[in-house]
Amino acid sequence: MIEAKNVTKIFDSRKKGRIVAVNDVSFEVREGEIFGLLGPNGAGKTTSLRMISTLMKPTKGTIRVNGFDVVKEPKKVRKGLGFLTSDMKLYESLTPRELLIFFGRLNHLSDDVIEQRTEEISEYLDMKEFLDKKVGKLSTGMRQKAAISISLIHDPNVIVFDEPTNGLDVITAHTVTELLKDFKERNKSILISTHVMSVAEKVCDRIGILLKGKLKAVGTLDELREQFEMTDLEDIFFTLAREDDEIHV
Amino acid sequence: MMKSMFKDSMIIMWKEFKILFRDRRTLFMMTVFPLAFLPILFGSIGYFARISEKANTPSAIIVAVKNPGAAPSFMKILRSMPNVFFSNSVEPVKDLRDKKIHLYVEFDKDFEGKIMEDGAPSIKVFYNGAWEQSQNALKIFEHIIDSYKAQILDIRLAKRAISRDYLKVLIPIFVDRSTPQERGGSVAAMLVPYFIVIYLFSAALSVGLGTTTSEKEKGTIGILLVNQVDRSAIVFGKIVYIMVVALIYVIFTFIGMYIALKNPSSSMIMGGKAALGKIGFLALAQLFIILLPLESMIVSIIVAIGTFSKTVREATGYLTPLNILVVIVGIASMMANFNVSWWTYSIPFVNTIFAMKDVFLNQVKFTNFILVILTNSIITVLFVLLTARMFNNEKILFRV
Repeated sequence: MIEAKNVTKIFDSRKKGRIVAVNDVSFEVREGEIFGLLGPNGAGKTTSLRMISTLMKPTKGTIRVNGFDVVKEPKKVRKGLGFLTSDMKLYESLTPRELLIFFGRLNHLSDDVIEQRTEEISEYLDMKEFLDKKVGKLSTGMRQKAAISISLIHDPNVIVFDEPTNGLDVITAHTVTELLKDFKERNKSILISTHVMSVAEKVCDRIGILLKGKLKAVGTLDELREQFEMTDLEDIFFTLAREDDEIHV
Repeated sequence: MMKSMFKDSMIIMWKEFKILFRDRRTLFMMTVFPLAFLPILFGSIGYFARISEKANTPSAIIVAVKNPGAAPSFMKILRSMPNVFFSNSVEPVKDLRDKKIHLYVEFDKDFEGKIMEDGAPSIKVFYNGAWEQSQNALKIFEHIIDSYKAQILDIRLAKRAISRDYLKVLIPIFVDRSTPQERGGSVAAMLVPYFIVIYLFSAALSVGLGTTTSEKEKGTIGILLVNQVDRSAIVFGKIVYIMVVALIYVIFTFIGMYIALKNPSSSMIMGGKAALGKIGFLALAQLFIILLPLESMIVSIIVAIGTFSKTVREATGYLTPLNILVVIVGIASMMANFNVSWWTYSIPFVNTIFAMKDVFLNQVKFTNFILVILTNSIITVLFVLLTARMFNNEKILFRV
């Protein structure tokens, strides 16, 4: 599971000055749950996810993944975490099978285990047909599956996906959302970020609305509806955005 | 801990080589190109130099002469030359500039008279310095003048009953005690270090940026960092990979250079196969020991800059001045044929070039040798530590 407590991330930029990307954010992602961070571009979603996956360190606050602190025990955190983001690219000249071997070895799995996991994952993600084709020759959907397979090679129980359906066609996006649901059935903790309301509505058990680095509301869809007395997530989001002067209508 | 780090580095290296072997263009540039480049370059230079020499040596010399009647004995010699032809040019100076004649000769009006009176008449020879055929014709004409002078001198000495031997006051004998191999060694000492340093730098540059900045630019670095691998292991794996690739490049370049210098076509420009000198096993081992720290240093600098830079373009911008500096140092030390102070061996790049020269000239000094290795190794360690720090610094890895 993931626990984020009072997390703040500040960037000091020469050009832009001091930027508070994430401001005192707290939330948790439980086992067997899909938690969605919903927010527009620049809200701090990717920064939050990068801190959870140990790519960045929080300026203030603590994040624990499976009970391990992301700053003090990053390797232990990464052992149980699968991270995927749309801005991460794969090596074009390698095949998905070679990538699985490479990342399996980097995660200190034995070759036997890698072989077994490759079989399981390729079956599960329906990748057998393109397992030995170079990534450079694969379609977007196939690439996304290959990227997902890599993040799952070490069988993590925490999965963090940044904009998992971003740039995908309808069919591949559907496959990915189905996968997320299946991970949940397998009792994994799943954290996704998205700016697409329908994805949040359809997939997430709980949603956190992030605006200008601040978590404005957290709850299940029903809880949010009750709290804001609105039925539509989009209306809730825009109400919060207006309050925060995020948008002008 | 160390064992795990080493294993992780090897995994990183395995990935890099796997990608390299799929990249035919880089493979070609790493093996075939250095193997063929120097033989083709030297061979072409030699071939064109021969053709040019042949083309610029006139088979017939066309000469215009003013006052030929004033120098009948000289003209007799000239007329006896089968490859000398005379022109009746009205404007000899213009014709010389227009490359219609090779030479224009003007005799003193009283040329023969002055010769008979033991005087020194003048002979003015006009030539075209911008035309190689005219210059070569001049050389031939100088020989004719020399043989004429010798004839006249013999006559004058005979008149005074003086033997030619009387003019010999000294018989200097100059003896070169060096072997052809040693003479070749000095050519190699001038040539090889420069090529090796330049080639090492350019090979490490392209591969180094491909595996550091390019990973950031393409967005593949992130996926590496979210695994259990230690970041120092990533740095180490990449450095070793680039070193191996650059070393392969240098070995192929060295083989290419050997082939090039063995080729008779290159003998006229580089001293032929003797140019590599007598490079024995000891010299090769010494070269290798010197080259490794140099290579590590170059690679560690490139990896550090590559890691710091956002784009390949930015990295190239940082490395271009360094590249130019290396070329300047290379050329300067190629020309430098003097002994240098011990502290010169502590200046990066310069030290290795002089150390390599010492190897080729068989004058290696142990202390200098150690100083070179130490200096380059210390710089390597500093840059590796810097890169490892950068790999742990999100501001650098994710700076936009």
